[in-house]
Amino acid sequence: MTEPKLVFTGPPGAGKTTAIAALSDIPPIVTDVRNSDASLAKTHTTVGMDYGEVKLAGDERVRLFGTPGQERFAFMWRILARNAMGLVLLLDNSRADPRADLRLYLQAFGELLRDTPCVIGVGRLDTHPEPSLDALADELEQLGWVFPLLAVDVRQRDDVLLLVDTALAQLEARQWQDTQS
Amino acid sequence: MNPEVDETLRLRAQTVADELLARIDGARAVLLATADGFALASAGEPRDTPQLAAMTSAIAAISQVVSQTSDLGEPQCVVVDASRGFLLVRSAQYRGTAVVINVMTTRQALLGMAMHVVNAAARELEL
Repeated sequence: MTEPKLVFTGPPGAGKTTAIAALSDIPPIVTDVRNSDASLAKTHTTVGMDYGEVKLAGDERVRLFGTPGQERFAFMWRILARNAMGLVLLLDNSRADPRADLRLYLQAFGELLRDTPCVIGVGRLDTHPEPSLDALADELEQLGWVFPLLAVDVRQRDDVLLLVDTALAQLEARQWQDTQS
Repeated sequence: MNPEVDETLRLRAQTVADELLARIDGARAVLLATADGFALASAGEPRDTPQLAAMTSAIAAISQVVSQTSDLGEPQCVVVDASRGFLLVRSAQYRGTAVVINVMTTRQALLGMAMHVVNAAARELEL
């Protein structure tokens, strides 16, 4: 029985805490405090980490860790990235510059991503269609990465489950490749 | 630094930081931060104040969920016993705003005494 560790990251407000709460089988552990930053349109923000667990078919228990979004918590990104087996990057298309967010988080987690799968979930595409998934995929390609990009609503359990499944599928593919080489 | 923070809070935080530095034997630095990790005031010489402010809020938040999950209630003071000194982290409220106090001391500081002074300062802030 394996217990893979997945890390959810992305800019503040992208829905990392919401996504983990939507999927977790246990009451999620959250470290939300009242937000005092007027440039962020939200009442609470994560300052430590989120934690949840989800049991998948075959008794596989996946551990879900959420990072704080703000860059001043980058030290938590490094702590939480340790031993991670996959990264879920959540983007919020209603933010000022989702392309810049994509660059920032992929660069910050660059070392992890050299040998760890990643999946990108883009939220609020319905109300903010630009940049499109294609445009984001182009940006990704320019950065030299190839990762699945999915439109998601992180309040929907199935959407979050799809992200987790996609990350784990890549992981299995890599492990299979490793056994072949 | 977060420009939105109320000036009264910032001034009060500065007073608390100065007083703690003066009252705790062996105190090297004091930092007060908002619960969401913005520096409010500091005294002495904390290195890299914005980073430390974010770390301070993370320690406070994680300690709280660990205490609750372990059925230990609300944490008062978090102590980091390090090779070159102690670090004390204490959450407090000031007029409805959650703040976190971080005191860094040398190894020579009397831990119990330092904790007592930090706790007293936190309670005073809440009056």
